[in-house]
Amino acid sequence: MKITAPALAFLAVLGAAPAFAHHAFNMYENDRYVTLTGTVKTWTWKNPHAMIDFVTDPATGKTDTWSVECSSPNIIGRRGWSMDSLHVGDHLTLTLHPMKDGSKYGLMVSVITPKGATLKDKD
Amino acid sequence: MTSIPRSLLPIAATLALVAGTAHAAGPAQSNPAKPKVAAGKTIAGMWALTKTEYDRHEAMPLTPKALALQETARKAREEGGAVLSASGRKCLPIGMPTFMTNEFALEVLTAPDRVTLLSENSSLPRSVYLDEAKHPGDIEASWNGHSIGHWEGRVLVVDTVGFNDRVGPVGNAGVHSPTTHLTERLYLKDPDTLVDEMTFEDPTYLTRPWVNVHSYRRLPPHSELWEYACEVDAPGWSERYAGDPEAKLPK
Repeated sequence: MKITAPALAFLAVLGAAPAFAHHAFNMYENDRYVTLTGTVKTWTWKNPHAMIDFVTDPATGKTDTWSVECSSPNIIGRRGWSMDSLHVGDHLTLTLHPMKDGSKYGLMVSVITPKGATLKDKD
Repeated sequence: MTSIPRSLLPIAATLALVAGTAHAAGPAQSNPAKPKVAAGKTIAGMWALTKTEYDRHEAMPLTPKALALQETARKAREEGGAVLSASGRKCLPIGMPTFMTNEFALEVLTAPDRVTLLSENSSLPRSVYLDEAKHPGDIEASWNGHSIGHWEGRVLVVDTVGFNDRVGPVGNAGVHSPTTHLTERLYLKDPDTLVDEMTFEDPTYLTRPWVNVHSYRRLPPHSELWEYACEVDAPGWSERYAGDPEAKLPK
């Protein structure tokens, strides 16, 4: 992960920031990566951030619903993503940074689409 | 090739202009005309920040005043739960230097008397005036400052002053204050890599000049400039900073 401590300082002080425009991300565990498999419930390709709601596979008989925040379509649109990258019902593997407070909300790192393509949001 | 008699040249030129106009006004072409200046020889074009360069920074030589501000911001963040900056909460313009150092696409337009920079992340363009030898005496303080520039060969040298006090003043990408003087050197490192060498001087916040270098990759031909609006009432936006003690959620 390339985002460094100085970058965090920058976010809070100068405001708008790379990849995380408009808000800081100190609510995420940015050095922790969680990989989940599951099914897309909603996919929103809209500013200021693309969003995925995602139902995990029932690993122990129970599912969880996660909301995953992606970067702006302006940013990930230059990295190979598009409105048609994902669809409701797609079965995916995705990697995210979880929230510090343990809620089922994460920051998108990368996703493997049903066709096997890897789409990266962050390094 | 058929040669045109010298006496007919003005007519030929007019016809070419008319033809050019008709072409521009016509329906979208599947094979757009080749640009007059080949891409790769000009800083004009669509660019995106190269992150590996962005993350390379030397420590900033901060004055005690700047260090105290940083400490206040750190406390607000780590101890007070602040998530959004004041400008982020209000959707204020990003201003300089973030204009040049965020990951949204950047477009550079060149004309004989000015260079215009557009960022998808800013509603305010940057204008670099090439026909002003010095800054006017009555600059109104602004988000992007007042920029004059000149070409040194293929290097665009930009001199900017007149920043307002609404951004920063101290961030990872540089400083932004009414006492900031920013000098930039913009040039092509190779046909598809733009470099911006920024030198910040600020007697209030820096003990000596500080240099920060960013590079940008050229986006594919015919890349468009996309819209982006800061919308505090967009779906999913408010929830993200609901825990911020200063957040006032829009109704």
